[in-house]
Amino acid sequence: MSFLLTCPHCGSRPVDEFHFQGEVTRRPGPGASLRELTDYVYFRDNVAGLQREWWYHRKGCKTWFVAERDTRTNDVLRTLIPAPTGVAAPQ
Amino acid sequence: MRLRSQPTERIDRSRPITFSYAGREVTGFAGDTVGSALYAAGRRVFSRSFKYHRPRGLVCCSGHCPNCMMTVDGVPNVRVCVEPLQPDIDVRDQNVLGSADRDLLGIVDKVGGPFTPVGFYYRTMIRPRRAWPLYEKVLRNLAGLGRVDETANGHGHYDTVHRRVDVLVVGGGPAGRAAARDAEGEVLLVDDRGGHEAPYEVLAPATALAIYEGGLVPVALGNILYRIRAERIVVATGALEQPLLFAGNDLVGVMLPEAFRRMVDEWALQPGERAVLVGDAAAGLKLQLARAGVEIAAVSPVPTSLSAQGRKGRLRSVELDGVRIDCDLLVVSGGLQPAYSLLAQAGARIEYEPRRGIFVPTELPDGVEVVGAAAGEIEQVPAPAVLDGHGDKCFVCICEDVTTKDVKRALREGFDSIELAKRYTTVTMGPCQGKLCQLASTRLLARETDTDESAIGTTTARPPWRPIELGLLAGPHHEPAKLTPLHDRHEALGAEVIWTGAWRRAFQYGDPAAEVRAVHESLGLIDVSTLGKVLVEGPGAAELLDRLYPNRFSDLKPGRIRYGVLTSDGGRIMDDGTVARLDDELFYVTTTSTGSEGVVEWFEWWNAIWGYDAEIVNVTGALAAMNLAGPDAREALAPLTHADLASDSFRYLDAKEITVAGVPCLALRIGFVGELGYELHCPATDAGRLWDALVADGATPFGLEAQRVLRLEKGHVIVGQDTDSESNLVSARMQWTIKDDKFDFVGKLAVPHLDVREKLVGFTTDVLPPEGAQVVRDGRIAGRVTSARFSERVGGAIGLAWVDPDSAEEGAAISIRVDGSAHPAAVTLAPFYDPEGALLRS
Amino acid sequence: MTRLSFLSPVSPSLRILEVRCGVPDGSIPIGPDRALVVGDTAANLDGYRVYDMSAALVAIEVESEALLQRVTELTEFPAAGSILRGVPAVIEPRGSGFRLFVPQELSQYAAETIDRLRSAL
Repeated sequence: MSFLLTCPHCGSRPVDEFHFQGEVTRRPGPGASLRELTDYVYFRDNVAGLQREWWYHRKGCKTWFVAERDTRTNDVLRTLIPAPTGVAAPQ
Repeated sequence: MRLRSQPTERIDRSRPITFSYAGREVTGFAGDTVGSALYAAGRRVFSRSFKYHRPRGLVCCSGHCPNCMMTVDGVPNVRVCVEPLQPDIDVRDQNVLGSADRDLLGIVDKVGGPFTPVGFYYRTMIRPRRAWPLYEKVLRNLAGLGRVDETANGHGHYDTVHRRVDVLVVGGGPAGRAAARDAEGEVLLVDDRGGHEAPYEVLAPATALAIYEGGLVPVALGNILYRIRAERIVVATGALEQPLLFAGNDLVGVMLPEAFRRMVDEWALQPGERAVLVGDAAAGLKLQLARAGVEIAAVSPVPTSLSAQGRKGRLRSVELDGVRIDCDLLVVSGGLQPAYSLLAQAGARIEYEPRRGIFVPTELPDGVEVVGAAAGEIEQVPAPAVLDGHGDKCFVCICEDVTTKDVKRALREGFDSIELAKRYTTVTMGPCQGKLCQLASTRLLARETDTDESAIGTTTARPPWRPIELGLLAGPHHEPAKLTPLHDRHEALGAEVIWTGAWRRAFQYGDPAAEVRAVHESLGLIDVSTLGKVLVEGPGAAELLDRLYPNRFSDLKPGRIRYGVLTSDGGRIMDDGTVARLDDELFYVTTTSTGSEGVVEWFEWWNAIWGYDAEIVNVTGALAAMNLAGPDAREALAPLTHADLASDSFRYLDAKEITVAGVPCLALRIGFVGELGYELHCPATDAGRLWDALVADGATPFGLEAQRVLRLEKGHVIVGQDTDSESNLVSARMQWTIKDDKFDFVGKLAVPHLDVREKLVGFTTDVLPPEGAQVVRDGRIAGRVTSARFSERVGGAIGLAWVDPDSAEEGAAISIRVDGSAHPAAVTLAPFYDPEGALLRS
Repeated sequence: MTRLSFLSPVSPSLRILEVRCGVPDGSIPIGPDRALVVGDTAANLDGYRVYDMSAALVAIEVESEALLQRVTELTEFPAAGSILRGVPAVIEPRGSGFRLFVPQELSQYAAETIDRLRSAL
């Protein structure tokens, strides 16, 4: 794997400067059932296509950002630092 | 024997060079290759083939085929036809028993055939199974390429150089040079032949090995690997001359037109005395033929039938459309095939174009272009798949000794796609990697299965373009060890230093039992600089920590410390450490040594989602840390500091900023090792001074092993040692850390669903069990030991183990399997040593 | 300045501060709102959160582009990125060469390796 990923702050860098955290998931609200919790912890959509995923610029600026990447071609359409969702618990 | 001076020769006849071949001295000229010098000295047989040990001679003179591979100065598989001649090199034959001329293993060619058909190793030498090592040894000695010198520690230094350019042109022929001249920006051209003079930068003689994602092209030049990233990659790799398939096509004396051209033009060699030329490209050598003084016995376009006859592997005659012609040289051309491999690797589609009988690259990805013959700018008529003719072996792949008979047999056995046929016969898998045999094997399969070449296709092109040494890919030697600021102190004390993750740590200083005793009886000092250390500061710091941990920290008073354990949202234990509150908005968090980076990333990720107003600052490397522990700790520290160390002024679980031996410290009164102790965190650059002062004051250095024993005596859990990826807080008996009334924290969702199939308990026993030993109950496995040591203080073996919940009672009897027999043990829930913690709190 | 006396070395050879909540003039940006301030500076750091990293980082000189190309794939500076085998570093141009700030725990590996690469040039 040698594709270049554009860090929103540093620009284009080799992918091995980064840590891949996986798909962006939706955290269940309080009182989640065991099924909902298990889905959240273990199951992923794993699409063959455009995926929203978390990356961390581990060897660089240490920023967490989201990339939209085509998992079939490794083309990254865009990267962005998402706005925080806020300090309230998810519903 | 050389021809008279040629107008384009590369040799300098005024500069002879001597070298050694098979122990004998040979002379060539500057500008020769090793192969051309050997040829001039009379050598015709350059190697023995991979499987059948058939004599092989020069075919391509371009570094594509395997026929000229020899071992040069201990380096195997050197293609001498392109290897520049250097003085005093030692050149030897490889894969022979004897010499290339008289290889005793040539017997394999005479009698081995019936026993070694394609895929024979899938059907024979299977039983008895225990004889396989012997079969393997015999086979490995019978076939193969060169031998690596196992005693040599590498063949020198390899370097890696990174480059970023606007345009990279691969191939320095006319099309490549034109592309480089016309390109804008920073241009780099790579070519496998040297001697370029150009207004742009040239790397030569060098080989572009592959095209990877992100415009990455590795280029090998000697012992240097250039990792080049280019905005535009222009592939101008040209086209490869293709052989023809006919009986006897591997005899010494059968060659491609380029070999003839180079031998005459560059090295003034006469490739033969009486020649037959077949195919129209061969006819384009009239000039070289005249200069070389070769008698032309026949010239023919590609005939209907052709076969070659020889003696002892050397060509003597050919039969051309039924007519026998004596000759010692047969120049054949099966046409050209664009060198598409790099483009295929980049993701281009490779399509068969039947009019000219070639595979051409199409649908190139962005950033990759192709020019010249590599793009298919060729005019020719397709050559037939196989020429009729009587005779023995007709080779499809001279690298791997695969004949047309082998391919037909594979088809009969059902391996009827190009990918299956390749894997079964190993065609295209040799050193040429399909340069001379991909097109031929596709054509042959098409003919034998009565389908089109476009339906057959090609096998997947893979890097590297030519074989390279692993050392080149590995680059220079690296050992990225993390050292603590006190590393030289440990070395000076003769410590045994071990790896923990990427850190180097002192395991023991000679007598771990004595180190344990020192901590219990007087005073010990351990370097814990590897601990992760994180500052969390800001108005949102307390709420952030409350939300990251199951514990509550918002009610922690400034100057106090609390143990903290991190869990995932699935409720699994991830890491642990201490949290000290230094101020309303300032917390100092410690983590495990190998977990520090992961914990900081974890904190930063959650806060990227939540957005609390808090800075998370990784100060792991900024600070050193050392734990001063033992009954004498207070007395030893007192003269070195002005701080009030009285027991009710500096209490257990207090955190204070004090100065010790002139070094500013954050002192944490915690008790991982069970005795009165102060964990001193100070700037990394001042650590040596602090350590020296404490040692001079009577502290005995102790290492990881002693620490392991001491913490085990207190029943302290080490995350990752006593817990694994499934452990949760309830099963680890740390339920008290969970403050479930908090509105949210990472792991709260899992609290109602936690699995308690096993519990972590302490145990005592008389025989020391190994880590991982089974806990058994009623003859079945009921758990496992995670840590165990012999404790002098406790007077027996102690440890931690996971057991079934029914056994997790104080005093419960369990059995532990040691050396095949079950030993009784007793469960202990409280710490083994000082269970009330009076010493810690003294 | 935060009052973290235990973070500040007694006498650092080079003062290096990590600044949060913005990028002051004359500093080396290392993130969207993080920067390194190197050496004694007249810059006004009011309003920023400042952490003393003088003990955390070691400065290594790389005198030529040719040597730097053996050390890292980065080409635009200043930059925070990877050098050698995964060592996080901050690189700034300095005179005709470069200055690299590497974590002190990896500084011995980095310095020895760069020396070896330099002698192979």
